[in-house]
Amino acid sequence: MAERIIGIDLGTSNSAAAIIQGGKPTIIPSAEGQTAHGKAFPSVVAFPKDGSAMLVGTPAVNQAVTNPENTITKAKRKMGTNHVYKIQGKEYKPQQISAFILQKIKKDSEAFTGDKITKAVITVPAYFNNEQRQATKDAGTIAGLEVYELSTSLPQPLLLLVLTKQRWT
Amino acid sequence: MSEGEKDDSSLIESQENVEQNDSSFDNNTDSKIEIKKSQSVHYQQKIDELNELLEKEKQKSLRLLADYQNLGKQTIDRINARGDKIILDFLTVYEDFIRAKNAYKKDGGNVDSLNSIIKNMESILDHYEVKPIEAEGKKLDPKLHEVVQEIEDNNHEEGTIVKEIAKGYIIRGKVFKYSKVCVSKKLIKK
Repeated sequence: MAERIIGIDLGTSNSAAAIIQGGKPTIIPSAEGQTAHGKAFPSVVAFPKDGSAMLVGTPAVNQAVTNPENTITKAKRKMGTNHVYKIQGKEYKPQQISAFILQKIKKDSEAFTGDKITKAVITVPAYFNNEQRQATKDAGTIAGLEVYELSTSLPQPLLLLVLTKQRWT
Repeated sequence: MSEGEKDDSSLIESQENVEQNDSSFDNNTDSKIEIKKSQSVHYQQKIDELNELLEKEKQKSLRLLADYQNLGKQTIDRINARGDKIILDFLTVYEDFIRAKNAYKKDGGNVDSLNSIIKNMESILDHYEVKPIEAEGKKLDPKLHEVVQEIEDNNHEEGTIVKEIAKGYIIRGKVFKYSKVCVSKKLIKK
């Protein structure tokens, strides 16, 4: 069986993933189903106060009002910097937070396709410098994904076209 | 020529004939074997070609079947998505009816007719497996409820839903609309 590669739009506010299925790019819906963000989900990670399992995506947003100090948003803006998030006595680097988002994408993709996903193409803004690109690659590695390529949108025009077009429909 | 000599010569002749026949027989069988061999090679090639063709067709039919199954799934997804959108619109009307009923009730009006309409609507929602999310009095579950406000309240355990602002719904076991809630927060004494 051919290895499956997913395309990930790791966004500042929202993230989404797509896969080529039957020759056509298809958006992978998040486990929570279609939300106000379309098939994409918010790039938010939260660590509940009661010490229960970490939340990623819409559930993390849902509890943000009650737990703002342990809710991380827009981690992408800190990628490639020395910023450290101090949460419940633990320290997290931005690439670790991004890795939690990528892990969710990986899990949702595996549930959607029924295959094991190990490779991914991740989008990065064209203005990202080497440190920021490396941090994105590291996030992929932490999440258990081999980053096949970092895309600045040109090499995967179809995939990205679908990613941007279907996200809001 | 004596009788004996005649016999000898005929014997030699017949021996020569046999040898000739043998060699011609050998030649014939050799050529036949050659033909058979070439035929078998030809048939083997044909079998290989047909096997290859069969394999190609098998793959093709498998792919077509997969495409067909995918199309089926996509069609169901599309139908469900359309249906969900209609149900979402229907839910706003349903909630309007509930609000109207509550307002009439408050003013002391007769709400029997509204009740029967709401009951009918609920049976339709039941039919489409739409279930409301229970909220008030329950512990906050971010996978079902969206917190919009924290209310200082010492009567409830922290993180208990004390007020539901908008109802949430589950459809076919998945959250369709998160319920918007207010949760309790321990009063901080200054």
